[in-house]
Amino acid sequence: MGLNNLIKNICNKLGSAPKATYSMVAIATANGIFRPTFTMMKKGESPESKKYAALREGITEVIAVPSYIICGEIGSKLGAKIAGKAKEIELQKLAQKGEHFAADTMQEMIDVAKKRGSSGLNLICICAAAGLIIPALCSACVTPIMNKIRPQQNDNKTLDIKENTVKPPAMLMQAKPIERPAFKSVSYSGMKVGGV
Amino acid sequence: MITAISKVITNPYLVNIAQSSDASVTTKTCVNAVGRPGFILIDNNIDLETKKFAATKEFLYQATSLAVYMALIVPIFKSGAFNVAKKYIYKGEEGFSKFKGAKEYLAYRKLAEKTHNNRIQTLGKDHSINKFKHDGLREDLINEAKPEKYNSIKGAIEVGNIIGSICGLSILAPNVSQALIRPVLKALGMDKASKEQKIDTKA
Repeated sequence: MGLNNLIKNICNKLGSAPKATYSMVAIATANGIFRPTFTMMKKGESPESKKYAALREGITEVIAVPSYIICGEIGSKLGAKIAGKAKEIELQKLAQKGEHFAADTMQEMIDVAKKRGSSGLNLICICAAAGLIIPALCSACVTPIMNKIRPQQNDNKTLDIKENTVKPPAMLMQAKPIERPAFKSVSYSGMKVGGV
Repeated sequence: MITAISKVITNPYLVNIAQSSDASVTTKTCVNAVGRPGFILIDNNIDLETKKFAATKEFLYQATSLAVYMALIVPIFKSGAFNVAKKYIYKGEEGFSKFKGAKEYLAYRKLAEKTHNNRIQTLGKDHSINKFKHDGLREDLINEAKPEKYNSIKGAIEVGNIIGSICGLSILAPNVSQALIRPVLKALGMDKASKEQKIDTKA
């Protein structure tokens, strides 16, 4: 019974004010769960690269969810304001021409315009988020976040031969010439061993 | 200026798309199919061959997702959600029993959202003369200034669409596209293996 009521409440909420944001957030959340799972289940790839790819996908969706919510909300509010203001201007123009409406009717017309504007700009902002904002945010944020999470492994780094070559120790690089002791052929005292 | 912007954002087609989950998901996938490969192609840090490969792969992925979504998910989940809600959740409740299916309800709601004059004009057209002639639906649309919209039915359809979107785009599409993309890329001569072969021959 409780579950039935919960479903009914959700249905009423979604039915009275349908928004593109809901489905986008639901899809992004599901992607955040399933994509890394599928990546980890892939066969024939090293566990390290699987972990890296799964983490990257997870972070992408973590960025996507708030982006959809924020862009959708901004779009909804801005759309309602723009459409409401435009309708007011339109009604004022009509009043100047001599076409008058009852206050209730005018308010209703403004409310309808606000609702439509809210929905329309919500969708535009969601599409902008999907096509522009999220890819831009991901390209700016994912690599630094990945580096912070896994600082010891930089998978994107290309093989730098110069960096990896074994350098001789500095002592050997600056080797000084060997100083030989100065031998003198003059004997000062005692007996000579061998020779003349 | 503000009037022009308002005309764009209150456009009936755009509003209809925005208020329907399946249409907005379809639009977003189309945007992705154009936008993401575009982003890859304008990236100057990648070499041309890799850019082409990645952009084609991304486009194919989005196109496959869209095809799976449109062909399987939308029709199944839209009508499925209506039937499930009618039989199990809103069993015997007024509203669901008045409509034969999701398609009829959505057509009714589209009319109910119009202004009274527009609604009467539409119902007077030849193709609409016999529409909704049962359960007092037509009378409601003609006589009432604000006919009942049956939001719970719309909500049930939306829930079905959202569940369908999740199943289609998050679970089914990645697996289907994985199976499809490689042969297509191979046919286009852009598969990794053929690429490596090319490099080997040059070397």
